[in-house]
Amino acid sequence: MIRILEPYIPLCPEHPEQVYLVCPPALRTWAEQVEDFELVKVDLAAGEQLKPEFLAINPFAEIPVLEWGDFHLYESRAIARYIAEKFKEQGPENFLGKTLEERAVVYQWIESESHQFNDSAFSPWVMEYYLAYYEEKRPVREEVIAPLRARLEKFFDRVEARLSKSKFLAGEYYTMADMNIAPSLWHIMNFEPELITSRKHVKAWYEILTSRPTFKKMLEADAGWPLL
Amino acid sequence: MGIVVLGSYLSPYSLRVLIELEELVVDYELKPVNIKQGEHRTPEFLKMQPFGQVPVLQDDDLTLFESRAITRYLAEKFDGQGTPLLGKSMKEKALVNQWVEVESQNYDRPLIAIVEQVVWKPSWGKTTNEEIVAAEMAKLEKVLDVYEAQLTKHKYLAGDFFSLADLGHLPGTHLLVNIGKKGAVFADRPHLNAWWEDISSRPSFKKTMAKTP
Repeated sequence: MIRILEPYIPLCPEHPEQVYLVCPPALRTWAEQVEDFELVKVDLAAGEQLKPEFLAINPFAEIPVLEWGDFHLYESRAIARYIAEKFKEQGPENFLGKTLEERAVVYQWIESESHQFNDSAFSPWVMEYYLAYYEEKRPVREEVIAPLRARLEKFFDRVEARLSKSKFLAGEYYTMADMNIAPSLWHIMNFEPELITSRKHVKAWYEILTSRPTFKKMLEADAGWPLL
Repeated sequence: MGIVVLGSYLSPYSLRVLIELEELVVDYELKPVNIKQGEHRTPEFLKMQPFGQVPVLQDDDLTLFESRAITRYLAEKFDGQGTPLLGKSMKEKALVNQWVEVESQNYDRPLIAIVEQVVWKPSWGKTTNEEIVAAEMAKLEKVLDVYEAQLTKHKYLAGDFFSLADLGHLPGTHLLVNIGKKGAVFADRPHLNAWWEDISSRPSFKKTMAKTP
């Protein structure tokens, strides 16, 4: 039995029409490959991740964590990669690339998403929206959002250029590079859709990523949970 | 044609690749990219690396960017030669990946913020912001406490074998400890310090650093 420990945040009643994704993007690769798993919610508001039992499995007090028997693994991209490698014979698709060179290009775009998009732009941007709408109940601070939005625009300009040459980030088929960013794109569509809809190739790519059956399944599973 | 690295001795991300090539005993050519003169922002460079950063790897038809993608590619391509860097079993490989991510997400960010203030800004004639240094050092020290605990259990980060995870720490930590003179936080933690002494005495590191200006 594989267990994935992921965050639990109590439901926010003011915006029941919004659908949010609880778990960091990479984790959902397992949905495409592994049937027998259990999602365990970790109550971050109650500080469950700071308790000794949790710190024993992830001393950085972060989620998600994969637990399989007495094997524990943290860092979402490491977990996703491990699952993709372990189950690559079982699914119909290869999410990591077939040849050595393809694998390298997939990893290049996974890293680009991490450093050029997530860390420097998306993560603080979405956190400002979350704090504004759910925690502090105020408008977003434009002085915080504007520079982050500018970075997102730059990133999407480059992705637009890339996708004018290949169907997906790493080449002609869907890989973990696309998988990792899809839930973040969903959040962007919720708050500032023009970032995606103003770019022809990014928009088409977004539509493909979010119409995959496993993406839809993930939204159903998360329906009602605020984002993290 | 062989392996070509477009990079800079001033960039810890470029150095990571060069140190690894020494570990793997792979010949390479370094084509210096002059960051100070903005060579990484020219149209020719942006064609190879649209985000305008070093390093970039060229290996025949393949052009690759992002230092951790490059180091992984090289470790996989040259697996079986030089130092094994990836781990053997699937679990070992996963733990190596986990600690590569820890370096990327938890260690590198405060470290680079500190290095920017105490090494790079002075070299550009700018003033160090001590408040930022203090705040980032506090974050880094929390991470170092976890490393200290991990390194009491194993000689290296992913287990009892040197791996890509340890290697990735070399250039940034050198900047912090040796150039930035912030080594006290290592000296205070005996297992962390022993690990640093060990990995920084590797010939691959010494040979690469001997080439830097």
